[in-house]
Amino acid sequence: MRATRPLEQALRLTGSRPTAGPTPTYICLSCRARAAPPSSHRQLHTTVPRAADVPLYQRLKESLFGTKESVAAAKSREEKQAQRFTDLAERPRTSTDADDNEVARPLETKTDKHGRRYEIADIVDPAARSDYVQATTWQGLETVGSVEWVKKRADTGDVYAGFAPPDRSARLRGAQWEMLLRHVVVEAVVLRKAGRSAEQICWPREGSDSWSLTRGALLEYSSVGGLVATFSEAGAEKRLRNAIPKKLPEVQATQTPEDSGDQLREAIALAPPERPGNATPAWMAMPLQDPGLKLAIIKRILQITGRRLPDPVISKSPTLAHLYHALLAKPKPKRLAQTPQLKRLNINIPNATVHAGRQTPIHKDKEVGRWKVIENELINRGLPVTGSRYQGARIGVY
Amino acid sequence: MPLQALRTVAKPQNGVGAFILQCKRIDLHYCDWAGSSKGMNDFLRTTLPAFAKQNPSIELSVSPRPGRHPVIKGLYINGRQKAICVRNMESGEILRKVELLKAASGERLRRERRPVKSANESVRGVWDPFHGHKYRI
Repeated sequence: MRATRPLEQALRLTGSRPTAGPTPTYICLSCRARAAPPSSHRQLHTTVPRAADVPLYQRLKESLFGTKESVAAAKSREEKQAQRFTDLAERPRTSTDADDNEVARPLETKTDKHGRRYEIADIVDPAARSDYVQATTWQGLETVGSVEWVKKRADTGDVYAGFAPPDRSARLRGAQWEMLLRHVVVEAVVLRKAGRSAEQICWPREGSDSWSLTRGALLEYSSVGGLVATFSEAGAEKRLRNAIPKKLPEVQATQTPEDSGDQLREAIALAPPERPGNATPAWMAMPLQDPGLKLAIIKRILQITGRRLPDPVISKSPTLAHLYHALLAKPKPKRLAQTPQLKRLNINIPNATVHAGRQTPIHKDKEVGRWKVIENELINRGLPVTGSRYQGARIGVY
Repeated sequence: MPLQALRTVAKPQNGVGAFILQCKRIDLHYCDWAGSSKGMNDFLRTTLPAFAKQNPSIELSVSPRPGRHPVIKGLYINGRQKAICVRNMESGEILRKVELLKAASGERLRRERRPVKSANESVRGVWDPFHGHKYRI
């Protein structure tokens, strides 16, 4: 029915209009508007008429043929280019050496705005040069875009050498943290006294007995003089200063777990017994206003122990004592199942079980002792035991 | 002697001599990473121990479901289970959902059209043409 409607409508329209019948008295607004002469049509514009700066004809002409300025600029550019080509072509390609032998002249080099030097290729006009021979093979020609070309041009960038031990962070007692902090701070104070940067304590050093030297130092803090390290042994301060390198080596090796482990063992050897309560030694009142010093201490501790401190903790530690307490604090558990609340729930309440990992239907079968039966039956039938991703899934399946 | 009504001897009860909770186990799944589990993690840390102590007959199993929204599932003695997604809910809201699962019977939710429902069969019995009054023509 629907398909025949347009056809019927078309036939009705092509047919002659019925002359007989009453003339319609009402004509809709749309029909009246169409019937009216075009001069009486109301023009509706949504934009405000505005005088154009450049007439339309002018704009069209400029867009097609360009302005006077652009034409002149293009002409000048072409002339300069032509002149440059002429100069390059006329440049002698060979020169004579002391023995009057002809030697190929080196290509002209220029420097760009980034300071990179580049050579300007010769322009050879085959019509002008009789010695020009066109290449028949591409052997010996410069190629652009090959894999070798990309590899040759590839920028390897700076090779990163990690300074933190790759294994997990060491867990130390309070006295051990204090001992380690003391080593690091003594080194930093000695370097600062010598006018060197505190960052140098993190630079790699080889075979030094700095731990024994720093262990013998006495740290005293006063609000007027700051932190002062006094050595009981004569010349110990100088030896410690010399043990810390003054120059960062060009190639740095990544620290291995053995290196950091050895350093840590030496550093915390002969650690004093634990202090009662939360008391900290007086030298820990040293303010850490200098961010360079603070970061040097934190980086050195990270190198030795692998212990990282969150950025907010670092920024909110005004003194060494704050840093010490932050190091002493137990790291927040990353998983909910490892929190003390859920550990207590698992142990104390018999009807509650806390699982550390995701529980699958296999776990449920194992709980009721059904899984071994299922597994045996699957193996007997040569079917995959734990889905298609199981390593032995496809063995024996045809 | 005043007139006394007959005393009921047996009362309809859940078990014969005691109430049996229909919910036998509740599984609580959470995610360590996702923000939608924030309220669930808070509930597990703070509210769950007290709930577990109050309901020793319900087995509670807490396990992670990484990268998914938190869900609580109730398992019932009729073999059915009901799951409620508790994403972005706070600890108090989750406790109400857990109470809901605990109180549920495990049956499907149905609209009750009749005010009285009995598990006993009719005392009148099913109509049978060979019993009762016999019509003779």
